[in-house]
Parts: sequence; C-alpha cells; structure tokens
Amino acid sequence: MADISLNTPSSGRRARELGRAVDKACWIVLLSVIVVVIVGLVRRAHFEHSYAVAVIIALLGAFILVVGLAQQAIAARDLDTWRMMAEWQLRAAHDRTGHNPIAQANSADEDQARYYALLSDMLIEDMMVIHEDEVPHGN
Amino acid sequence: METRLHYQLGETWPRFTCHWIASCFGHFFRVLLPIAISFPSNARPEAFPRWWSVLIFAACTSVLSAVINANLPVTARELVKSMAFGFALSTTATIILPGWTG
Repeated sequence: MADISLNTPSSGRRARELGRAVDKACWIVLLSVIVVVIVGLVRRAHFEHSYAVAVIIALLGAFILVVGLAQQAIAARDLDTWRMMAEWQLRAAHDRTGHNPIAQANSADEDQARYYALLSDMLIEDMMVIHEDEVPHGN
Repeated sequence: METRLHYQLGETWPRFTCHWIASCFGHFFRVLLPIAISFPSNARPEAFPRWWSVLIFAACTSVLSAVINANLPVTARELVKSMAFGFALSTTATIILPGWTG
C-alpha cells in the first residue's frame, strides 16, 4: 500500500509551528529575491535605458506570482472547509452508532488515524465532484 | 490504477507558469546580484549582457525546471525551490559556457 503519511498533516504542535516558521522564512526569501532582481534591474536601467522594459516585465511576473499564491491560498482554505465538513459528517455518523473512532484514533491507534485521514480525503473528493456537477458551467 | 492517488497533485498550466516565472527570477537573481550588492558603486556599465538575451536564455532554461516542478503547489516553499533550480541552471550555464555572461 502507498504511504498515506505523505498527505496527512504533520502532527504535534511543535511540528506545526516549525512548518509555519519555515513557510514564513520562505516568504521572506521569495520576496528578497524578487526585490533584489527588481532593484538590480532598476539600477542597471540608469546606465542602459532599455532595462526599463525588463523592470516592467519583472513587475508583471511578480504580480502574476502573487496572484498565483493568493489563488493557492484560497484553494487551500476551501479544502480545509471541505475537510471540516467531512470530519463533521464522520463524527455525526459515528455518534449515531454510539462510538467515536476519531477520538479513539487521536488517542491510541496511529493506523486508525491514518485510515480516517484517508477516508475523509476520499469523502472530500466525492463531495467536491458532486459540487462541481451541481454548479452549471457557463461555457 | 485507474484514478490518480488522492495525494498526488497533477501538472497544470497555472502551476507550470508560476514555477517557470519563479525559475526565471532565480536566473535573474544570479545575474543581477552583483549589481544589487555593489551599491553605491556603479553597475558595471560595459561588461553586461542585454536584458533580452538574459530573458530569452532564462526563459528557455527555466522550461526544464517548470516541467519538473509543474506538479508542485504554488506556495512560497515550492516557489523557492523553483528559484533555486533557476539559479542552479544559470550557474551551470556559466560553468559550461565561460564566455557567457547572461
């Protein structure tokens, strides 16, 4: 069987904090590189005026990157919402049958936790497919 | 297997484009870093490539990194990897082609 842990969110508060810190550091590196490139092009444009075109292209590229990042962030937030809904449905279903395997999985059984992570991902996929089917396409 | 495993991201054109742009930034970063850090001395007016030659070369070499990274999500972490790839390709080009300044 494939390694499910590839897609499961890292567990533990310390790991999550580290992940967020690395994300922020990457943001800083990304912005630094973009700023260095644009500053270099602007400085070069003082000597060779045609570099002004390169400055405009670089600004355009940076804008496209920012738009792409924003769209990805929105998609990630939407996926989180789907996951919450799937987990809520699982919890409600198991509450009806009188036991709560998610709570057990959190405490003890790692395999069971993975199983429910996989199950909730599958549910999210199903729900998203149904959602896409319901939304009428314009073209 | 009929369907892709749920944890695999597919290659899409927006991802390809974003990683391609990031890789081009990495390439330009290698070229422009000497100018950016030499402030306030001059920006070497003579021995410097034309911007369009740098751009065309960066665009061509970045296709490789964009093809490889096209299945990564567009997040700051993954874009930094694409930038590093562009930087590495640019450095490789200068090692292989000593006369090439772009």
